Amino acid sequence: MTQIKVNVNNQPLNVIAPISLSELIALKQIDVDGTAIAKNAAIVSKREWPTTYLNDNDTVDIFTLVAGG
Amino acid sequence: MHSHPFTQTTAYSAGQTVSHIAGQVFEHSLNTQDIRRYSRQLMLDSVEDEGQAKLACSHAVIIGLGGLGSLVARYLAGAGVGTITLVDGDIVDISNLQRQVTYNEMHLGELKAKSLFNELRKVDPKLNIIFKSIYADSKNLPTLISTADCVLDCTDNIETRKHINAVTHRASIPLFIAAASGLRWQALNLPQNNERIGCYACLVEYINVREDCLSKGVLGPVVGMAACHQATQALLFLAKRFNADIKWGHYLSGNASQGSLRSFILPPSSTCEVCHDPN
Repeated sequence: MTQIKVNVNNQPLNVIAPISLSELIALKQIDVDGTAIAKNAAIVSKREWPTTYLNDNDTVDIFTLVAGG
Repeated sequence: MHSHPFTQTTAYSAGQTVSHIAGQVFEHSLNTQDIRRYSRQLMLDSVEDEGQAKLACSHAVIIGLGGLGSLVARYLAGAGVGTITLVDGDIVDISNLQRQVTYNEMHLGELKAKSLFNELRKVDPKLNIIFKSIYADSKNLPTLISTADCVLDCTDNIETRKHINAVTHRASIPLFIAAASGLRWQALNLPQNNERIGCYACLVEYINVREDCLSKGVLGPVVGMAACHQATQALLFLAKRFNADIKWGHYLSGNASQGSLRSFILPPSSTCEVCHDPN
């Protein structure tokens, strides 16, 4: 097990690798409904969250999609 | 006036400008009143006489005439987009006036498309404004957008947004999307003909987007921020087409409270039902 430092929504976070985006969401207790994730400024399909793993110094942006107009 | 490798422009007398882009010909004469009317944007490198001629020859279809669409339509009409189709089956309600700034109490109970048509005619009676007091759906969309140079998705629900994305992708018509809820706004420009860029269906694939203005509320100027961005992107595109200096396939997410704006690349999904070609 290795500790890595990632940046989640502009906040530094130390986590134990390996950790996937799905596991990060569970760790942060974020409601997945309507949630999108970008890793290193590229949006990751929700289908790929369980198999997308974080590396040291990765940047993660978690945000809610909106549809109102 | 700048000249682009893919653009040939010929200046004629009396302000007439003829431009050729990818085989299309844009011909429009700027008279003295036009030059006064559009003087502030004619000074911009991203518009100039040539871009103004293209705006005059352009057709934009605006779907949804609420907080986004009513403002977008006003800006496009003011900038001289020659043909604008307004699509919405809704009527003006008093709860709209907080953010849908083109309407006022005189419009209550009227069809939004007709009300907006009347207001835009007051801005410039020479423009060709078409209004359709219907809700866009998968059946009527192909016809509604068939002659569009671009489509602006100003709707407020995910299902209609998916239909608009699918139909514009099939027709390879550029799509400008914006949305707002609470204090957040988001936007996306889709060329709809570039396999390296995802589409709206790629973005929302497997995601249950449930927020809208009814359930979460929205502050009027926040929708306005989204609309202003969307109108700006569409105008820059219409003035220079694919030579415009705008970003395609970048999802913008703005937080009006914090004054922050983030931009994310939207890659195509290998399982997208709209833009993925299994062959």
